[in-house]
Amino acid sequence: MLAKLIKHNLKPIFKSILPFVVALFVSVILFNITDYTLEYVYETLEDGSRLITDIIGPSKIQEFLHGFFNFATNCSMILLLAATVRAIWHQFKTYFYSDRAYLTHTLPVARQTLWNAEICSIAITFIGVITILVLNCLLLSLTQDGARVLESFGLVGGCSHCIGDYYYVEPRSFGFYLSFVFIIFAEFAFITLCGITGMIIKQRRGKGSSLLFGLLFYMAGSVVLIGVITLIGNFFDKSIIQLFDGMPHSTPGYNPDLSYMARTLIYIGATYSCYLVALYFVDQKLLRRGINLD
Amino acid sequence: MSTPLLEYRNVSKSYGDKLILDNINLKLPHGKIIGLLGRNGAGKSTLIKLTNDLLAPTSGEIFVNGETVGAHSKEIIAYLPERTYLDKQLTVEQTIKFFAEFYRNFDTAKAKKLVKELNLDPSQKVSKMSKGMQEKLQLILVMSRNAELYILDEPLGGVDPATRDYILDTILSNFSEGASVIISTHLIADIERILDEVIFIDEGKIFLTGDADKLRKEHNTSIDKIFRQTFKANVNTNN
Repeated sequence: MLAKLIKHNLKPIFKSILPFVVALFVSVILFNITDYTLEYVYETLEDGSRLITDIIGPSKIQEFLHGFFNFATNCSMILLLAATVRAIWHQFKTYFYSDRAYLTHTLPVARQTLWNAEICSIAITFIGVITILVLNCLLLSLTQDGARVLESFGLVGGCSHCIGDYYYVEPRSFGFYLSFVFIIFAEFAFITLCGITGMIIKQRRGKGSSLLFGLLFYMAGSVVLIGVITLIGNFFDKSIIQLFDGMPHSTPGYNPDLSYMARTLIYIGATYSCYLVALYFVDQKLLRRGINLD
Repeated sequence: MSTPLLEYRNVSKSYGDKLILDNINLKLPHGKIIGLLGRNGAGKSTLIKLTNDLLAPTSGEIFVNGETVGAHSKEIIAYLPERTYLDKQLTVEQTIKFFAEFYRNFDTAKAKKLVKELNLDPSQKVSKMSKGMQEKLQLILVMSRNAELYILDEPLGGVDPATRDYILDTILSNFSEGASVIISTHLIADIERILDEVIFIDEGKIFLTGDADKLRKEHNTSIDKIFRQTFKANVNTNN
């Protein structure tokens, strides 16, 4: 029954985020297609050194299109994540509290199973969406300018001020990527569960705003998270305080050690994981007390 | 003594200070067609929703075949709500498949036969169907289950008299042998002919229960008249 429920939960979610997935893929492909390299014209001086006398760039149209698809790629990534959260919230509200809920709650399954199916659906959805994001990042890394985009996210070590062939990117450690991916998963799962908790509380109280309840949970969680990181930074792992100094700038040949960032991400991820477990049980308890459909 | 099909023990439901159901105690047997009769707002739908786990009682317990309401009771109860609960994105055929997937007692062949009889297009999306057609489809889905208890909440509401007869015929000719049917309505005259037992509910209390024939004999009049006299209601039951 759990598998059947998950299947039916996922259908509307993936259907509604599909346009955003397509938009992201198309943007990345077009970004890569319109990528260009600058050609440098040199003049050799008497002492043998070379002077750049001209830079031959792309046409204005190509430059505009490339910039546009760069913007579209960034927007698509953000919109995909936002649309995913919205789609899950909408699916939960529809299946648990709208007219469709009359069907959901009269299916011959325990409410615990309905809730577990919801949680599995959220996890599968985010794993799917993050996989899509990773694949698109890999596509971006195929071009020089795409690598610069990834560098701006801190995902690769590189040099944004270099010219010509001197530009290079270097991948971070696998642990860094893993913790980065996990933090995105945990953060968005937390946002999603805060919203769902808000809906459950609103429905139980019969008044108030689910958005407000969800926002309160999220803000409380964020404040506690900052407190946890500060505590760890002050007492257990002093190197993570570097995080508050900002990302190190890329300079030619400089690929800083970001292991403290990876560790910070793990601490944040662990805190979010605790939140997720806590919210799972709180929501489960609230749902077990029964629902009240108007 | 055999276990009653449905039993309410001291069931109350309130919203804040407002008491909707007041200490309901009731046992319903197997194999009967029962009319849950009451005026609008009497508490009929609340009682039905409690039975289907769509509401949580403020106090008391409900037992279906001796077990508290849960996955087991949902397997044996086929419920037709007042509202349209169908997934609008699915077609008629997909909706039937959905029911077959979840309910072990769902008879797909019977559902397809009823779809044909009621002139519904299997490939049509639910969102493209009129409200009346959606209600027909819901009735088909409910009556295609080999359930032990059918709970139909206002199945005749908002339909013309000819369709009412058609709906009643569909119910009568399709419910499982030995099963009970609870029909909630305020349109008593329309369903009186098919009732074995009646429950009168008003202001959250069970006012009167009993065998329909006995009540007719005792009062020497129809259930509809008894209802009107009891509640002194000015309800137009036949439009």
